[in-house]
Amino acid sequence: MIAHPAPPAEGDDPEVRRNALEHLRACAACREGWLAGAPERVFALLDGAPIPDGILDEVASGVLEEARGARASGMSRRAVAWAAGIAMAAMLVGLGVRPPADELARVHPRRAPAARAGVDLLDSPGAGRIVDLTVGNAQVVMIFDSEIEL
Amino acid sequence: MRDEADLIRAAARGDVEAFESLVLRKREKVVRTAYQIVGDLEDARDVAQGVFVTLWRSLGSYDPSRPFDTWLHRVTVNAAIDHLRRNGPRGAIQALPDDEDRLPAADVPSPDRAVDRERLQRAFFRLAARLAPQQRAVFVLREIEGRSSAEIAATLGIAESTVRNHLLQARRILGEGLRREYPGLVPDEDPS
Repeated sequence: MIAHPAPPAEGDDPEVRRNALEHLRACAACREGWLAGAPERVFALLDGAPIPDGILDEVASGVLEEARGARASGMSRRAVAWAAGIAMAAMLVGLGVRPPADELARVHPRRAPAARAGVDLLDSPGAGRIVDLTVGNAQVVMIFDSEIEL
Repeated sequence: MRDEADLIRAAARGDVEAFESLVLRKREKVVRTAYQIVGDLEDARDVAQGVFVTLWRSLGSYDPSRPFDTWLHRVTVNAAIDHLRRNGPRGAIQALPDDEDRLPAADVPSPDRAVDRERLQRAFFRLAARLAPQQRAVFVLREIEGRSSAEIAATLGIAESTVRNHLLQARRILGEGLRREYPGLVPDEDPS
């Protein structure tokens, strides 16, 4: 004996609905009763229509290409920023651009004490790397953090 | 197999492999929803790609306390509606009723046969092209995907009463179109 499940209704569990629709696709008698007076219900039978694999593959390949490209360009931007920062620091230190520590301490005794003159690489839990560079009367702090969007 | 929440967290940190697993899991649902709303497979593919690119860029700000599928579905539906508003429906141009659909109901062979899904799909795209984008989305979500009015209202950011209005209009337009142009797909309402 064939079971004839109740037609789908609002609030049905997805599994119950799927089974009801599966039955309606195959059983003309039940379908006829269900569509009487509301023929547009027939479009519910389109639920779960298969999508060609080719289209699904194109979706995945296009998206992943974009994601890998975005990550690669993000990494190269960070690498350029790192290289520029380090080159600048090395050049300034190499040129001997380093003020007397006691003079700097006199001008900015609190913000640039003698021990902080020159180039310091500091560890920081919040950022990837901090370069503290003091040149003349100026103090430059460079923060390299992979989370920062350039 | 990795847990979905774990995949989402890893993808949010920039793990492309985790993101790939998410795309493979979700792509069919995303394409299917977009397909019914925009009425063309290639357009649906473009919408889906846009949805996943948006996902990749915004996963970092995703709030894990909210259901991921609901969020993804909302992004998909709204992207498909935007696409439809910009480009118009395609189904009206592509799908014409075939000769079988034009036969009077009484001449359609065996009522016991199963529904021909391809024929039904063509009919839907042709008739749904007459609906406004939001009306069409409401019909797809309610009648094809079986979602509740409250869920649809939340997805589209509209009142439930507006959802019911759209549904009423969409049902009327599609019902009339079916009776007039595709009598073979619906039962004969006056068997005498």
